[in-house]
Amino acid sequence: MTLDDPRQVLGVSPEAGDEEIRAAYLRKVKEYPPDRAPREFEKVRDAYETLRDPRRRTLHLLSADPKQPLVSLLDGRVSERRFTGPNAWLAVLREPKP
Amino acid sequence: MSHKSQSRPDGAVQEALIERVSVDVHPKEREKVAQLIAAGKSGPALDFAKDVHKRRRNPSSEALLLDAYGARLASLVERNLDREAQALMDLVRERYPSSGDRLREWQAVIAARHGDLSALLRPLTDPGLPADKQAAVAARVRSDVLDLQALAECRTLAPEHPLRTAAAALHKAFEAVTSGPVADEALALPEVSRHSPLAPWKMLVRAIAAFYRRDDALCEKCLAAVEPGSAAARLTPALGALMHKPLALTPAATALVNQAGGNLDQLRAVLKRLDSALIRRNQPLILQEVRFAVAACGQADPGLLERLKQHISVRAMIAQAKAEKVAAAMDGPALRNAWFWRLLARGFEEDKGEPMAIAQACSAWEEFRKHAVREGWFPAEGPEAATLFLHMADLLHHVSPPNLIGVRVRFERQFDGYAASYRGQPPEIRALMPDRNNRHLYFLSIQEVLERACQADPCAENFQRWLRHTAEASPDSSDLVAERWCAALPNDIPPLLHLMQSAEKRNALQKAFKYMERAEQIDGLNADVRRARLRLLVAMAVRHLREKKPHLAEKELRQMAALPQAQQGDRPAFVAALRWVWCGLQLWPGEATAAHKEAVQILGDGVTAHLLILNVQNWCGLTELELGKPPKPSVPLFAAMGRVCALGDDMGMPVDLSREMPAQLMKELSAPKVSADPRALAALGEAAMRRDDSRLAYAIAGAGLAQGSDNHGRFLFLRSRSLPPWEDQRRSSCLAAASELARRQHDSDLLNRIGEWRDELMDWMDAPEVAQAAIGSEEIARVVQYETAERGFPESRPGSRPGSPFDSEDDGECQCPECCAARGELPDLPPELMELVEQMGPEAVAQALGEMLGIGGKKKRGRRRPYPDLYSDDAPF
Repeated sequence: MTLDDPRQVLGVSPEAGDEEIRAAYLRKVKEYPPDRAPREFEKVRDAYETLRDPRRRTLHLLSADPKQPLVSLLDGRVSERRFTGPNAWLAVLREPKP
Repeated sequence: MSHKSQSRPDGAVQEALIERVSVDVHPKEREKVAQLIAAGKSGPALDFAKDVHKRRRNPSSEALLLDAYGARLASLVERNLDREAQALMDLVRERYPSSGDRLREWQAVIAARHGDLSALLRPLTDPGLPADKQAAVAARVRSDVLDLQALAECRTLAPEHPLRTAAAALHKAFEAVTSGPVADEALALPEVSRHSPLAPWKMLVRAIAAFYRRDDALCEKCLAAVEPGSAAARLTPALGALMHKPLALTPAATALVNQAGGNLDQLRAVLKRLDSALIRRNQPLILQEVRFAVAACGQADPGLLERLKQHISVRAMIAQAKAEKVAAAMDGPALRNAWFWRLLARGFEEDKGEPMAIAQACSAWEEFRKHAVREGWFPAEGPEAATLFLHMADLLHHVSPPNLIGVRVRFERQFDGYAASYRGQPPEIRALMPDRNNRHLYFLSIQEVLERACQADPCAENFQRWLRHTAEASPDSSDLVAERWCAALPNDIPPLLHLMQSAEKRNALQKAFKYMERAEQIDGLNADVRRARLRLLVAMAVRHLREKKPHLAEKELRQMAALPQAQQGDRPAFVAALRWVWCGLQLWPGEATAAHKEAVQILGDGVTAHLLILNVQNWCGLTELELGKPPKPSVPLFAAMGRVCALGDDMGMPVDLSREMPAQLMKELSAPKVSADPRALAALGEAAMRRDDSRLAYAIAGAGLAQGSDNHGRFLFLRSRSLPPWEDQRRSSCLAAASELARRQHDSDLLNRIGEWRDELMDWMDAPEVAQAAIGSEEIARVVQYETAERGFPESRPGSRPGSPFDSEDDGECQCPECCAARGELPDLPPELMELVEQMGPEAVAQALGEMLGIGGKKKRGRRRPYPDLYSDDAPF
């Protein structure tokens, strides 16, 4: 993990409430236990500390960077894997060779 | 012509023939044809085989030629050139009658490619079909059957035929894995054996399932098991590309990759170009790159598209691109949901120097709040909403109060309820559009914003902030805020103390006492409350003595004597001094003498007691009482007076220095070495500042600095305030050092006082925050050493320093407001202020300045600068 946005660290949306944030934190702690991934765990814990307090959480929301490079929107984003149905796949099978 | 075509040889004869034929064609020629076919060069292979057959003309060369024709036909079929393939087959049939079997086979393959598998599969209905023939059909099924459904429904085979059941199961599984998540059981496919010609399909289905489960390792493992050359293997490049392998793809495979996976690398490159265009503010380039970015995002990551459009809108606004053109380039405006308004508000905040931008930011935050509540980001009431209101208040503090009024008027005139922004938005978003005819611009009033913060989250911190603001901006209303605080949080002490002090200031001591008693009921041990009781009793007693009502004062004196807090430090001496006055009023000289003696005994010397009683006598307005001659000085005046000042401050009765005292005090303090109680010196310094005696305060600060390191912060603060206006660098250094020392010693009282004084200084001077930078121990020591050594008050102004607000360019006269006023001149005003004078008139500005300086009863807080030039543009989005 290289992301500094606490919401991205925990993988929660801006509208996530207390319960969702806590659930995400527990999930991440399981993923990065302190004995195996101390650095990642620290990030997860810091992110949770920021988001668990509604005031700090809101302050963080209010500090969005409007000049944030557009390319950074792709940070941590993996290509979506979308189900297309069989036709797109079959089209490749039926496609004549060049 | 071939002899082989005339009679079909059985197995043994055939083998013999093959052996003979193979002799008839040179192995190298056979090898070359095979290589060309394997390389996909069916055309050259056919030409070469034709050449061989032309030279040799034997059955072997004819068989080689038919192999080449077969490859050529396969190539045509692969490219869907069915008409050409048919023409070629007719030609072969005509020229080589022996090719009947092969032609039937090719025909079957072409039909199979078009979903008609009956010809291909018919041989399998023959129970006596030789194994090699079965293997040949299986090979064709493996390599050429692309339509599993057609195979599953092919009536040529019996319904229970393994090929049909396997194809049916695979068809179902293929549809499932490409349409949604599937369970492991759906991938077991027991109908398809390892040796089945459809086994590659089984591996392909599992590879697709693993891909969607993001198990790329398993996906690759399954793909490796898909037999090359099989029909299923046609999908392996596309699947590999979906896992970000750089592979050349056919158009259909590219379309599949875009649909199923998207190419973020391409989108990343486009966004980088757009970022660059936005930084350069090149509108045509911005619009062009916006189009590319939106198209690329729609292909690669449609889920990100709406958010990208929102970011583009705000970035384009900051880059001053035309909103309508950007919206058109994006193929429609961005969604105006909470995310958008948040970005927009932050975009406006980028221009905090413009009052109108602040107003627009607050307005956008209000829109954000409404949408965020609707979208469930946070509830309408709660700490989140309160934090947002406090943030608005912070923003509004960037605009000076007089300017804020102008901004509000102008904003109200221009505000159209974001009509353009809400145009074309979904109904649920349009439902939150502000009503143009019923707009309440609460978000442009600090008072209302803070009130809402307290309503949303009634906690002590929020009320404290509201109360502090109201006390500074509109002192008359502060009691109402304190009452609201009491109602919301009945167990909080600070609002009661505020109400008590407010009543005390109005001389409503009984009412103040009631508030104090309420506070006592909540927390009788609270230090502030305990001190307040003693202070109030003193004030009530002094008032009764001043009114010459000793019988009423007696009660307070008795209560005071019984208070434990009145027994601490020098306080009993103060009570004794009060009693002396009371006895004097009663004309009880004996008791008065006893009280005097008690005061002397407690304070340890007659001079201090004499000064204390004199001051108490003054507070009570009973100067006619005969105190007697002052005793012979046993302690320096600054020590005695300082002690009295400290006691007076403690009891809520600040001491005023008499006119004669400063000369004597200056004389004493100018001695090479002065030893004194720092607390008393500090109190004396405050008394000097109250008297506007900078020289005395300067000398006291010097003496205090020499007393030891514990009080350096306090005396540096005193020194900074006592310096003449032109010593701005020294003042900044002293303030910075004092702040740092107060921070290290956790002296919050001193920190608050420094902050308030600096705010006032900054407000007036519009000075940079040079003193706010933390300084190190060495620098602090250097400042302390310098200030301790500088005993003489800087009487004359040193050489002109560029940038100093007190510099004069021509005559060397001081331009500080005080000196200007003394000369009957107006000080040099900053250009913004001059513009404000032109816009609002000198009276309004003078009133505003008066408020800022605390003359008009209103005082603003925080760093605020006058911004006369209002932002002229509407929100462009």
